[in-house]
Amino acid sequence: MGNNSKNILPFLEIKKIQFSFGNWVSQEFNIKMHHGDFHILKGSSGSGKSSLVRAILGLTKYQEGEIFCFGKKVNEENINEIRKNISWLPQNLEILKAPAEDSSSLGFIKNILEISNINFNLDKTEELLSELNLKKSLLKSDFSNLSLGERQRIGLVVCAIRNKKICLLDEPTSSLDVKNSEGVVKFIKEHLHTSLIISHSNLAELDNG
Amino acid sequence: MDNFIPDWTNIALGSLVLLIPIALFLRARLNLVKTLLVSFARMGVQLFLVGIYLRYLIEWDILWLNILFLIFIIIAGAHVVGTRSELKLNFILKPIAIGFFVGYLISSFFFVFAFFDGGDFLEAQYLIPISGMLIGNSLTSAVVGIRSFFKNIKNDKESRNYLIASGATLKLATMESFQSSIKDAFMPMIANISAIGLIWLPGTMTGQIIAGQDPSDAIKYQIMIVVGYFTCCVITVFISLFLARRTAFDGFGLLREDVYKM
Repeated sequence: MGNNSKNILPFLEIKKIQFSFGNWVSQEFNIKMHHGDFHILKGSSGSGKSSLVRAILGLTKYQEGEIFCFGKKVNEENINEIRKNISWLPQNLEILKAPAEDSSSLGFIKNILEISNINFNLDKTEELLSELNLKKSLLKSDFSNLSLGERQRIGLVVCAIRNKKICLLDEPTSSLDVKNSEGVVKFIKEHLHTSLIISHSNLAELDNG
Repeated sequence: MDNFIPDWTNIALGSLVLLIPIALFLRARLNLVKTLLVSFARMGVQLFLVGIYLRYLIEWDILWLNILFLIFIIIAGAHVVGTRSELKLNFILKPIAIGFFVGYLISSFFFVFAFFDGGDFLEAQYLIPISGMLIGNSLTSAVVGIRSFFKNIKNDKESRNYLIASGATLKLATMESFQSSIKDAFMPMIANISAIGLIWLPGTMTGQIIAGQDPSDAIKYQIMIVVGYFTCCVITVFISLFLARRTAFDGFGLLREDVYKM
């Protein structure tokens, strides 16, 4: 994709980004993503890929380089506007919590949508869940009892409902078996256009896209 | 026995009862007797001095001196809470002091307005005992509330970042930490209030009854005192946390780790 849109402003541009913590220095990241692109970032763990995703969202500081979102340099003034246009599937899903007043999976989904000012639609949600091989009844289960694989797919459903300009997906298949991974790849292709995906595994189908 | 006023001989005589804990400590070889004696001596001297200067402050009743006293009490209270909050003083002192100031103003205004019709709440006779009572009784809950909030937001870092990245305001993203710290701070106080009169009689009330006041009058003061310090404390904690939250996060909504004591 993307090849025909080279002259248009990229949605996301990463220029010479580098992280360092103590003695450790990450690789240098250079990425240009246009509308509709799927960009897969491979590399050994600890190479700074998750830090890159967090840096785009203004959650991690970087020592070198610049990040541009929608043509604007990410800074304190525009970070909130930029965050409103990005969906994020974090890697460490075990830390996510449903709100105290409704601790079900449904409560988790509704809370994130409310924060993003998006109306909740049950039919749409159930449809997306079934595309990822999740049962409707999962919505009633306590969010804290879900497995990582289930959380991962709920997180993807939230990304799809939020329908933002860019998706940042950190290891979207790390806790899934082969069959479900394939389902996720299909789901991303269909619903999450313009995604920056971090993955150890080969998401060959997306790569060709 | 009406309006009996004790003198220092009475106090020395009554304090002889302390010989019993001293004897028990000695027998148990606790090595605490020296500390005990120093503490009680300190208390005696401090209260003796307070008695003298409070008498003059109330007698003179000079507005700027009253306000100076109030500022002193507020800073001392904020310092006590701040040093126990496990946060850096240069960060937390100002929010707590402002919280105490507003909490005191509002509750003492109501107290004096309701009880001493037309009384000026900045008059030394009211300001000095009421400010000490309101702020003194607020200390414990204020420490618990502030400590608990900053502990919660430190532990909640990752899930908060997810909410912030999804577009939540800081207020929304820290709401649960805030709610649970308010519960930590005030549930014990509220439970305590429900037991007043049933299990224990507060010290002020005991003093008034012994001094010859009608118990049914003494309770009226007691009710207003509890209403006053509870309100003062709630206002203090809400304002301190509101102000502290604004400076505890940077422009990206990330918690500034340097507000914590290392």
